[in-house]
Amino acid sequence: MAKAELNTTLVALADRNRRAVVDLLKEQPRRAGEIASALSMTPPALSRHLRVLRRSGLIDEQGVEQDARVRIYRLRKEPFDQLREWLGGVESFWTGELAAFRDHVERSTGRRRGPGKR
Amino acid sequence: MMPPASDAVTVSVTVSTDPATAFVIFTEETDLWWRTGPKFRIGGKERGKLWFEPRLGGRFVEEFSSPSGPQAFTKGEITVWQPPERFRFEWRGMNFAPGESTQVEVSFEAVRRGRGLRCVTRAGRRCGRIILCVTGARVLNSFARRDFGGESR
Repeated sequence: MAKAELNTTLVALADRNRRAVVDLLKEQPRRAGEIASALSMTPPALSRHLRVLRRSGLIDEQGVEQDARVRIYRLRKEPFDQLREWLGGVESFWTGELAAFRDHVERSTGRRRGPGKR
Repeated sequence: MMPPASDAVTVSVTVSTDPATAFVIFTEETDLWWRTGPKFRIGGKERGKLWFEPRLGGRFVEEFSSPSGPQAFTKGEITVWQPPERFRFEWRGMNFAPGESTQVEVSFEAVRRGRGLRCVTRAGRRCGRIILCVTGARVLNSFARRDFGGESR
């Protein structure tokens, strides 16, 4: 289940427009109109991206008492925690492989130079 | 903590050889530098062998022995091949489900002067920095098509 959610998060974030929406919502919850205006996006295009983000669980929406037409969008914490954990694992794995590569390069270039030539 | 709004990770390392040599070592001596052990190789304690087929469309393969005989696992395929500057391959980890993969882009560049590290090889060439960027954006594209009505990258 957790893996499926991570995949959904990754797919949702594969689109740069949706990443831009997430970047904006990192600062604070916002209305759709604010987001569309900040990103110079048409309301239908934004609506499509918000729908994907909502269905993938990255954001949720909340109504405003004073005006039933207004919806406030905010980030949900859980999928980003999961994403951070996955990215941490990926980073740790490849950092280790690159370190092993560097060590091998240092050893093999040392051998190529020959003893006493370093 | 701010959430990451990206599915990408970038790591880098600087080595004391020029980028062209680093490219060759990275792609032709993979088995010699890739970490060993069950966490890093399917073969576990049996070392087996790892290699890239050095061409566009080439595979990244691990060959290992098993009780039922020798087996080969394709870790990914090369999707960009531009020696000695960069190459990109699809990467599937041992624990990935069928259809899952990440993109790994590896670029090799000379270390620039005045940016912290001044490094020149014995041959007078500048050292290489290897930058490796992993993205999960294409994990389960089929999943994307199914869930988002055809909307994927």
